[in-house]
Amino acid sequence: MQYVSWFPGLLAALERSSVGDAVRLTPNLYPVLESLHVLGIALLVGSAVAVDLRLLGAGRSVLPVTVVARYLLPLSHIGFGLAVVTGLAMFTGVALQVGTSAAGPWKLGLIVVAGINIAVFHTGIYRTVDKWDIHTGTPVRAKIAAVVSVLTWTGVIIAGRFLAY
Amino acid sequence: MNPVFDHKPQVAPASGKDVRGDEEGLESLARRKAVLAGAGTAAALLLALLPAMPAAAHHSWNASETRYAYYVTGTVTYVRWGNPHCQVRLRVEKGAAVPADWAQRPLPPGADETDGHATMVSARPYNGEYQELMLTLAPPDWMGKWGMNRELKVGEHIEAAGFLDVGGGDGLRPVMFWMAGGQGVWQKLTAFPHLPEPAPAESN
Repeated sequence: MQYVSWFPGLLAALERSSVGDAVRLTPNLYPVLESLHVLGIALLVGSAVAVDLRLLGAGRSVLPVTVVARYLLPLSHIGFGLAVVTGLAMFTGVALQVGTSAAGPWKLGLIVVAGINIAVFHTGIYRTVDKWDIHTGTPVRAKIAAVVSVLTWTGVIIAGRFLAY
Repeated sequence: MNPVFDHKPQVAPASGKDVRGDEEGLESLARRKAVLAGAGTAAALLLALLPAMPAAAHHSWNASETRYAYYVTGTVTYVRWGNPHCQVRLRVEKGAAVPADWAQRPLPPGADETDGHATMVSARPYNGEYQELMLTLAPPDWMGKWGMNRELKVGEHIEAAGFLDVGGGDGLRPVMFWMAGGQGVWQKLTAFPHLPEPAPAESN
C-alpha cells in the first residue's frame, strides 16, 4: 500500500484517535474484544458450516433445508454483526499495522466473495428449495454454494489469524 | 418387517429399505470426505500463497531469526503503546558498536539468566539495510511486571538487544531494552528454540 501516500497517514491518525487509544490502553478491553470476536466467528462460521453440510446432503432424511436455514442463518447474522463490531473496534487500535498487512486484502476480499456467494444462492437456486427441502438430494448449484461458503469462511479465518500478529 | 424396527433401521439390516439407508450413509460419508479433502487442500493453498508474516508478538520466537542477536541503538520515531502489544519504530544508528561496558552490564529485572546472558553474548552491531526498525515489545501488563510503568515517547533514545524477523523484514523483537537513564526492561516470556550463537570476536 506504499504507493498510496495518504493511506498509512489515515491509519496512523485513526490509531492515535481517542477511540484507538482507549482500545489499546483500557485495561482488559482488548482481550475482551478478542474473546467476543472469537464468539462472533463461532456463531457465524459454525452456523454457516452446519447449513452448508445440510446442502451437501448431511441429515437430509430428518432435517428440512428450510428449517435448518431459518434456524441457523439468523444465528450466523448475529455472529457476523458481533465479529464486525469487535473487529472494527480492534482495528482502530492497531490500524497502521493491520491496515498495511498483506493479509488484509485477503481477508476483506474473501468476505466479499462469501457475501456474493450468499447473494447468488438466495436469489438463485434457493428459490426452488420446496422441490428439494427433505428426503432428496440437493441441486449441484446448492452444493457449489455450500463448498464455496466453507472454503471462503475458512480462508477468512486463516487470513484473519495472519492479520492479527 | 417388524414395525418396532422401522424407525431403527441399523438393527434390521435384512430389509431392503435399510440396506438402501446404509448405502446412502456410505455415499454421504464419501462425499463428506471429498469435501473435507477439498477444503484442506484449498486452505493449504491459501496458506502457501500468503507471504510470510513477521512479528509474532506475544507467542513463540518462530518468526524471529534467533541464531544471531543484534545490538541496536537510536531514536524512537513512532510509538504505539498498549494491547495487544507495544510497537515502536527506531531510527537506528547504523553499525553502532556494542558498548564497552556491555559484558559488565547487569541483566534487567526479571531476566532469565541463561537466555539473557546468551543474548548479550550473541549481540552484534546492526549493519542491515533498514534505516528504521519496527520493534515489537511486550504489552503494558508485562511492561509493568518488568518495572516499566510509563510509555516510551517519540524522540527518546533507547538501546535494545534482540532478534530480526525471519524473511528479511524490518522487524526486530527485543529480548531486553534500555532507556537513556540506564533502566533495563526485560521482554522475553517464551523459550528460545535454541540458544543464540556467540558474536564473532572481531565484530564487537
